[in-house]
Amino acid sequence: MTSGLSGTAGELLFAVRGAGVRYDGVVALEGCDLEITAGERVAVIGPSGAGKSTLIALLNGMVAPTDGTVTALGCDLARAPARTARKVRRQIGTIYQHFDLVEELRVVHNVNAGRLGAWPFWRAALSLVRPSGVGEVRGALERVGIPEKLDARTSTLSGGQKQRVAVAKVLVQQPRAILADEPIASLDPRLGGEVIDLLTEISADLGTTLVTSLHDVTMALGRFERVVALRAGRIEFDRPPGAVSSGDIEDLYAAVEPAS
Amino acid sequence: MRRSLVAIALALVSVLATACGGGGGDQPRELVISAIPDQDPQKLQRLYGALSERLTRTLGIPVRYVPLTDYAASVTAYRRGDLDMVFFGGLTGVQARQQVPGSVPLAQRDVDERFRSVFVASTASGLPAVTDVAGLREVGGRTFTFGSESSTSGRLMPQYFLDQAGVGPNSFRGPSGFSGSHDATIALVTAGAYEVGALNATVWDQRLAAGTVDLTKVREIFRTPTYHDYHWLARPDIDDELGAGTTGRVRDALLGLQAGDPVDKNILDLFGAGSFIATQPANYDQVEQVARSLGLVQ
Amino acid sequence: MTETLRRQASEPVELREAASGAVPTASSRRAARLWGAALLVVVVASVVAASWTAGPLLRPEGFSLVGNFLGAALRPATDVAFLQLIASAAVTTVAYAVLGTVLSLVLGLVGGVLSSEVWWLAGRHERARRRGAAGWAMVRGVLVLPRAIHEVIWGLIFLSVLGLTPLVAVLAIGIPFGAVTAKVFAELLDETPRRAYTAALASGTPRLTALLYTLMPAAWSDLLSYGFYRFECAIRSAAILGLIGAGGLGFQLALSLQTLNYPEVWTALYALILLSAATDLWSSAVRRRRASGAGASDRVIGGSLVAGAVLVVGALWWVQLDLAVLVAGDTWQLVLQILEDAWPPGLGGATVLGLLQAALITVAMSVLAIVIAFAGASALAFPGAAGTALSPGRWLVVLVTRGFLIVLRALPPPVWALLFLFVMAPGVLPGAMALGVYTLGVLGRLMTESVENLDRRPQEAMRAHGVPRPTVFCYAVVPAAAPRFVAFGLYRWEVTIRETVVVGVVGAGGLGLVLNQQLAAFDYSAAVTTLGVIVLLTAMVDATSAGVRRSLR
Repeated sequence: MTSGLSGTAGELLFAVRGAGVRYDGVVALEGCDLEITAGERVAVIGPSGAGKSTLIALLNGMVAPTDGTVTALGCDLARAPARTARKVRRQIGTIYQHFDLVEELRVVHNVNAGRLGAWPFWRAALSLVRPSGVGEVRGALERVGIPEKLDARTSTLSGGQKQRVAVAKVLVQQPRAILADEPIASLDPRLGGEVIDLLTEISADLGTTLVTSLHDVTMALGRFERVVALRAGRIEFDRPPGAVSSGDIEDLYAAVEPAS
Repeated sequence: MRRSLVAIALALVSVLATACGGGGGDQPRELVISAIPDQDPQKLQRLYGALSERLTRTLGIPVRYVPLTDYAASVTAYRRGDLDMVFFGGLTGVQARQQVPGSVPLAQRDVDERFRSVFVASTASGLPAVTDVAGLREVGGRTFTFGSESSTSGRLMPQYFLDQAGVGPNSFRGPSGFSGSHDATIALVTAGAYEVGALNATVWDQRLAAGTVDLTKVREIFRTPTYHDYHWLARPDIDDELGAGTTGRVRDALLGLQAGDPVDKNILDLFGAGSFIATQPANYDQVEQVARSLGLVQ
Repeated sequence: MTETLRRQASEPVELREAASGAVPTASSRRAARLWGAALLVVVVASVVAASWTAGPLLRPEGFSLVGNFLGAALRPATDVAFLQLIASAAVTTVAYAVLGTVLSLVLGLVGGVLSSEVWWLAGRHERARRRGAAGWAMVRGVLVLPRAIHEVIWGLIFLSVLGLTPLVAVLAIGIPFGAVTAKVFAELLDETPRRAYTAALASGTPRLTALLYTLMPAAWSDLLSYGFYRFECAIRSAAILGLIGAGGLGFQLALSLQTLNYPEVWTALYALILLSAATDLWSSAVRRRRASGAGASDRVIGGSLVAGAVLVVGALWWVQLDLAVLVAGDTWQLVLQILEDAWPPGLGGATVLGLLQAALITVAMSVLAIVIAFAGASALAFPGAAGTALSPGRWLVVLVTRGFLIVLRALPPPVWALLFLFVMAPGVLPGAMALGVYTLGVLGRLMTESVENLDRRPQEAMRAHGVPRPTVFCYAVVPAAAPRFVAFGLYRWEVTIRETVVVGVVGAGGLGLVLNQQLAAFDYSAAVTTLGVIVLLTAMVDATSAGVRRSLR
């Protein structure tokens, strides 16, 4: 069950109440309750297929709950009018496992893609010809450590560099919350550690809320202040890392009986 | 690179500006004419300058010739008033006159007064020559091709005479073909693709004279009675648009082309004519009746 | 079951994406088998329908006439006056093709976005999603109309509204081609990986901006190569120019063909072949540069941009495009008049049974044509594709194959129909052969390019493991190429339905013949009915093609 266990008391950013998600009758999540407040750094763990990605997609409204409700920044994204939903989403930056960058574009455009929500169409279109706001883009790329890649074609970057571009993209977006769906699953452990460090640093520096789903339990326990564990679509536990025992983890990853 | 793009953009803007604003309302009104000949059309359609220059000189108003290939397109443009005068075939002339009532047939070629179609058959078909229209019943049950759908001599009149002999559109073996032109009809019957075909008699005679027909494979089996075919048709509003009496002057200009004059002779040759002669609406009554009975005129 | 698979089984397309390339499900395999069986039945039925002929199937004695035509290829008309005529006709043809292509690309871009699934459905839920589905179905339906109607018919319609003005030809090329481009572009967008797009939506980006940044860049190369293809089609279809008296190669070719002046026909054909080959070369040069990651600063690509812009300006100047006719006083009145003439739809001399029979003949002819084209093009696509590091012998094969395909598509279907009729009995078969051989040339080009665009890594990986070449071909090349081949085949099938309108010479009957008769009689209300049947057939082919493609995905 949820509680205000985390240290920072603040505004309620995400509220998941009794939420379930089914795809054509197959249960991905059910009966989830979760509250996340401003400034928290939350890791979501669990075995493959537990519903981690679906939970992240519920938070940014890309998936609508089949049962229950989800509000983000006070708004029910799945039901709100498109314009309102768009405004709220501008406050939420999401990073994905596969970076989800456009390979054919130069890095500067992929970084700018983070703030397209705030630009009118003509400005976005013109920017493809002559990049606008290059100063901020360069600043963000410096922050993630690859300023020299500003003009590079994205397809020429390595995996680690691409994930840094994805982080820079969220930086220029200046969101109130950063969601990350398995951000390091495609990276080797050293690079993955660097990216997680970068995300937690940014979150700490800017006071941005961070919700990350992770395969790597050590990383989750070592670098986050709250751990939410999912198993077969249900929240198994939700506590600070200090309160998670090795038995909890063993149970969590034990073989699941095939569900319905 | 950037500079050249700017230059191109500027050029584009100026061209578009003329395209939108142009329209040219102040140009003097011209007489716009066209023709869809069906024998050696390429001659006239490529050398029409001779005709428009000659008419411009005689009439004192600019004459512009528009080369069109499509029957439907020329009738449509005529109906809209984009063409003032067109050299139509018998059928298309009737159709155009129906769509623009009051149109005046101005002139016809000397050959158009006594126009004929011929039926040709492959020798392999074993069809004998027939002596009268009734004899065409032999064509029933054979494969058959017309020329172009809108041709008077390649489609309308042959279909009419076949009808008279009791051979309806569904009496052939298989659906009839539409070869698209008189020469294609000759070639397809020569090849044996169709056993029988019908075409413009003038074209047939010319090809015989030129020796391009393989008489071991194809031969004439019937020559139809005469009918009126091609003629110049003018819109009724020419006098209003271009000045009173214009219609008469155009007619005189056409009738005045002399085979003795080298320039005129050249023009008459383009039309395959010895001269242009007067005509009148009643000349096309038969064609109109036939077209009506075959559903080609509403 | 893994999370990705569970997602793939079901709804949000954006999540299905996560599993792209996953194992096909049992239900999609079953659907593919069903579609396969249905198509087989249609093909067999068409063969049976075509097997009726008037007289013996082949007439060897007709070969001498074909020989006359082919022989003339060696002695084309070369007198100066005629060459000048052809040169100026070629310029006119290119000018109209450029403008028609520009219009069709603009329409295709807009229509493509508006008829794509991703635009209407991705990232939407519940009510908005249902509304989106309705909007999508509506746009798809509306776009069938311009596609189903042959450009010559469009030309006649615009002619009666706008009169003898260059704009008629530009619209008649641009509008049907634009609708086809829209369809192809929508499919490109829908098949482009969607993750970046949904990620952009997730951060509150408006749809149009998200599309511009995430789907366009990925689809751009394909759109570019499609644009070149469209341009080549426009060059060939410029026969419409004869409708407005603008001249052009198609017009000169048709004139010379009327009197069977083969040397002149060949001169015009050589001009068409040259233009097609030039477009082909230009297109592959640009594609090769883009594939190697070059941008606008590259000499070839930058030069092409400038050349394209110069062509557009030059074309506008050459044809003297007058846009003012669009707003002329009587334009709308004329539109109303046409509608009045055409409404209510009637039957004219035709009967419902007759129309049905004609529709069946048209379908049979188009099916046979596409089977011939598909078989031939699939066989020639591989020898025709230029890979990396070619030996001189391989280059020769590529050039000969490409040249052969260009010649096949340079000869317009009516010319092919005449040639086949010289040696075959009239009926569905020579019509299907004519359309099939022509379509083979077109499909061959599309398939060759798609083979060239294949991802080479799987083949190289197999070869690195010492797998013999033929095995690599069967296991890596064919499976990768097959879905695109099928997609192109289905797309051209639809075009073939429309093209049956132009091979009336074969004496097979069919909707094209009925339509030509009705137009010759100016019976617009009957023509509307026939066009309606053609539109219906096109919609059916469209639905079939969508079903087949979905089952293959």
